[in-house]
Amino acid sequence: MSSPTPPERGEIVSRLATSLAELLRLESADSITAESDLREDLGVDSLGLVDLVTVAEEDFSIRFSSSTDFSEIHTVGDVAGLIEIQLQKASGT
Amino acid sequence: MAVKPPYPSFETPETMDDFFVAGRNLWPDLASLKDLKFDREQIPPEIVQFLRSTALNEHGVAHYLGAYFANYRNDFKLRFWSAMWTAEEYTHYIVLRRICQGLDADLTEKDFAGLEEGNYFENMMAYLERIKVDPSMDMRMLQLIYGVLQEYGAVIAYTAAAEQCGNPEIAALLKRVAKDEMRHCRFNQVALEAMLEHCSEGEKALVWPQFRAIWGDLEMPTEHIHYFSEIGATDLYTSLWDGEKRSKIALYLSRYFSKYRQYMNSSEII
Repeated sequence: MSSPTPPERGEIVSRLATSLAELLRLESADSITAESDLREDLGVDSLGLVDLVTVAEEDFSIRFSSSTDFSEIHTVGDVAGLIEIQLQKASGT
Repeated sequence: MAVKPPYPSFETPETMDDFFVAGRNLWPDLASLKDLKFDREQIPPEIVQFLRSTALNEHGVAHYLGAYFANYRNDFKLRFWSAMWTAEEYTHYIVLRRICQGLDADLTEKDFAGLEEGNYFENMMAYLERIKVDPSMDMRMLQLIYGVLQEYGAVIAYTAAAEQCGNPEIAALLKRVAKDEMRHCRFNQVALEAMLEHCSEGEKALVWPQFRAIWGDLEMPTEHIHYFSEIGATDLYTSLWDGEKRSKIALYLSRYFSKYRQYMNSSEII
């Protein structure tokens, strides 16, 4: 039996934006896009990154690679890309 | 008669027995390390500095034990663990100093004197008070949570030093030290989990925010002893945490502590 098809990048960004809005206590996720800079636009510091990683792993049922360098991750789209890779690995696609 | 704490950290001494035996078995060759000899020119200067400073830091156990005893108060088992832990850290001092001697970069009388003059106890207690998320929090819980972070931070620093030192024999020794620090990290987890079995939901709800508070304002022991700033080693451990290592720490710790998020009210979850 094949694993379910992983969500598209756009859907991942949308779900991430919702989670980020909750984490950052924003009224709406509308202003968060794939191009949003985590540090510059959203003020995500090292502490916020811990929250984001935790929520993303829970929400998408994934585990980021232990060799991931989050200092190289700048935008919401970058995080979505990492999630996409893990989802594809999990589904075997 | 000493007043017992409201609940124990863990029930039986077997846990400590296991940790103690594993620790003793890790260093059967301690005496033979006195004959080490290395070519200092082959080792990056920053690694030599790391080795000298960590040797000194691991020698500072008398400072650290004071704070642990104060925070563990009348918890006999955790005080026993603290005493055992300091002996293990002293073992690391011997290993690291032997490496330094083999590199012709031994510690000096000035180093030892500078370390002894440190005011660690007051600085550490003030730091813990500052980062405590609840004034009524059991200090044992705070110390154990801090211990998980501190020990895992040491694991990553020793691992990084092993990767960067350029000498397989030194690398092997540093990896063994890292393995020992991982045991210490794990012990803090085991003791925390055992203690939390007796805690209320409200107390369990403090674990995740306390972890975040420490991670967001992490100060390693060297930051609480003035002499390390004199020798440019305040950031002794953190200087070896590059982006990938820092991410590894964040991933490991957030995964470990995230299980305690469930005890928080949905409105409090950050």
